[in-house]
Amino acid sequence: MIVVQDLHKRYGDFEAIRGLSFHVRHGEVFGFLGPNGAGKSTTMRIIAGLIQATAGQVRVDGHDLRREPLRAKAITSFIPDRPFLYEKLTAFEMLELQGGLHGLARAEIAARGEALLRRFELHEWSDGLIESFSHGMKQRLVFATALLPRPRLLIVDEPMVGLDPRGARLVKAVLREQCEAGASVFLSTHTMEVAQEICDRIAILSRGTIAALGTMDELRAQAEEPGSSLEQIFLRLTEEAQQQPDPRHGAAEEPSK
Amino acid sequence: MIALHLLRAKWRSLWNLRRSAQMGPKRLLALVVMGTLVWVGILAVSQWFLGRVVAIEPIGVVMLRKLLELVVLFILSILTVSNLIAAFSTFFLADDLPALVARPVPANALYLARSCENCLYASWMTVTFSAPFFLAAGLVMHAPASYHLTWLAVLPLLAVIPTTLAVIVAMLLGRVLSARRTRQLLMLLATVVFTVLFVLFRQLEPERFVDPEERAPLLDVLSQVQSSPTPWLPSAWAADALWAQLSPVGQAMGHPLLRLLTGALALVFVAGWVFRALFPTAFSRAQEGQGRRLDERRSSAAARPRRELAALARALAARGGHERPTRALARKDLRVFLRDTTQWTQMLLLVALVAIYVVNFSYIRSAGDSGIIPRQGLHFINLSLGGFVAVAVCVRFSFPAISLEGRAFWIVLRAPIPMHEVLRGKWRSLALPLSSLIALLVSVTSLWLGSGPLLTALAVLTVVPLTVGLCGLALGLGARFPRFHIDNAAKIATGLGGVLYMLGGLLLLLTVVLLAVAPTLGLMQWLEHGYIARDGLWRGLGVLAGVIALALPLVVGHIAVARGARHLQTHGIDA
Repeated sequence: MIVVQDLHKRYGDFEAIRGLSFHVRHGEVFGFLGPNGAGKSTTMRIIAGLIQATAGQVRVDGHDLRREPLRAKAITSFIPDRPFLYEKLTAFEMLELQGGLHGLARAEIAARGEALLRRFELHEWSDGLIESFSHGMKQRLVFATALLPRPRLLIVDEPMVGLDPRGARLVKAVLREQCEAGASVFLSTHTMEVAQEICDRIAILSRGTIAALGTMDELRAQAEEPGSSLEQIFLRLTEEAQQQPDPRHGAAEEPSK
Repeated sequence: MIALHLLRAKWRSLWNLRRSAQMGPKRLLALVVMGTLVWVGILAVSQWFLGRVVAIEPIGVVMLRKLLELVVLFILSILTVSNLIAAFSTFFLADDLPALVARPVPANALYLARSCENCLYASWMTVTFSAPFFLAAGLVMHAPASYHLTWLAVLPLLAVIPTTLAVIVAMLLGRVLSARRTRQLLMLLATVVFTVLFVLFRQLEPERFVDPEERAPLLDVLSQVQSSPTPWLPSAWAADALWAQLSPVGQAMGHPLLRLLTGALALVFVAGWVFRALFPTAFSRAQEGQGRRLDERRSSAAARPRRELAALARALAARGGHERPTRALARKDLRVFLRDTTQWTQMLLLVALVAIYVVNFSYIRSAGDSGIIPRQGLHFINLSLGGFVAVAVCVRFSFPAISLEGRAFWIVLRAPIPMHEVLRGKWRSLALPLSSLIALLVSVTSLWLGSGPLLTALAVLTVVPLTVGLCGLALGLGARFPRFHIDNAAKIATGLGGVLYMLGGLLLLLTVVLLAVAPTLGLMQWLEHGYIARDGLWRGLGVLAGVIALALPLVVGHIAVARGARHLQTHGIDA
């Protein structure tokens, strides 16, 4: 579903992503873990089409993100870590906008929008202005709007931020349902239990490159810690890198030297 | 000391802008160079204009006195409005306030630091760009050094007074109203204050000096100069203080500079007292404003008709056919505009601007009636002023259109529609009402000036594509220099992009007016005499100039929109 090849992203002389390569299969939940500032959100935003990479290639379901961005966007939905929405719209109007942007049929927007609001326990607030919603309600509304156009790829940045336990359980169930329906989920999280529970494969990112990638068993093998938890593997793989100076500073100058 | 410490943190944030991706050293340098050019330009134009005024015998010097009073009153109006608008954000909404209030910061320190910040933020531009006018007046009158020291002292004092008034008003309103209502009321109040000050401005009747029928005898004028119609306003004290150093004619009684200084200091103390008494409660109310609304709506019986309307809207939405992305975006923009009352106050400012424009036409009409300006000249003045209003209106409504999407812009960026379609949709929906407004304004004033239906039609024909083009230029530059983190439309246009748009917009206006001169005069000659006193080549060039005058703004608008779209597409939310 996603093929990332030699991806680079520079901000001035800071190279946030350094030659990242990986792929996400159809119908799998792919976890993207890493310490703060490792480059997770940057990678996700590039794949979501919100920012452009400095170099490298991203293909979503065969569509090159540089050459066919609209085709890639049409089959992808993105859920950011902070739910910024149009505060002066109601919940239903937000769904209506999302449906309109994807050119859906009006009848489908109405029927599916109603069902999604019900699924995310927001139907009672469908006519309420978003500005009056709590953080968790906004997060659930972002999920509802993301699912409206029936995406084949769901990119989720920190899905559990601001959700209460009930909301978190609902989101986990929804993500699994998406995979069972054939869609792929690419998610980043700091919650190791969530990653361990729902991800088929996991990539651990450290300082702009992949430190480890695979299923839980494969990660244990790579970390040489059989029987350990994801948290232990994560700490083992990332702590070593944290001891070294960050190679990403001043990286832009290096090729010309 | 603590107040200085708080201000130092703000100063460091500003200083660090040179390292930020949004500004950077190159953009900062470009902004400084452009600002300096504008400053020098104002100085040159002011010196030329004031030189001509002073040369009018025998009342030139007296006219300068009146002009000084007008300019100071105008500056005070602008400062009052901008301070009132900024006060709510500075004292109730700023991101760093909760952290400061939670710390043991003395009330006096907080008051002084916030007031200084409000004063600097709301006044720096007005003070900086009005300074060359006062410098020019001194140069024209060969004033002593004491005059220059006086205006250097007068301008900051003029800025302090509106700041203290804004603090008092914000505290009083914050004490009795919710956060949202206070903000809306402050914006409304700013418009009312501006209108009141404008009425006072009109009381000075500048047109009386050019109207030969109404021109008062010299002695009357001199006595009028000595008695300002607004002696109780700080602007009159400031004008008196400046005039005292400029000329021995028409000196005011007492010590006007001392009056201004003591007035400002007294207001600083009064505002401090009001702040200490009311800020804790007002700030608490401002924090409470957000959370209650959901419960209120849930329990309110008034919510029922709204729900029924929503159900009806949903039934309509469920009708057949597919939704078009641009239409969905236009509907969203309309809904947000209708619900966001801070954008309505923008409308109030627009109404005030239009009212000032129309009322000021009495001055131009007097100049026309007295024969100082010929009929053709009146047509081009009308066109230029209409175009100027269009430039100002577009900076308010069109330039911030992309930035106002705010942090929710990721939704549009994520949508599978080309960015140039998004921008073109916005251009269409903004250009239609704005060009209609300017066309109406220009046609009414043109008829009022007695230009006749043909010249009026010509004025409308020129000003409509100009407004459409200005709208596109503002939108495109707003997309090229977006400020997604600022929610105040007036603040969005104060950056590099806003300055570039104002300079570009004025240049476009000037070019169009100059290009329109030859074809308009040729057409008028043909209508009046039945022939054009030019050969074929000149006629052809005239027609070409006319076509360019109509097409150039549209081309400029189109290029700006395309470039803005490309920038957003490439840089995304990092733009």
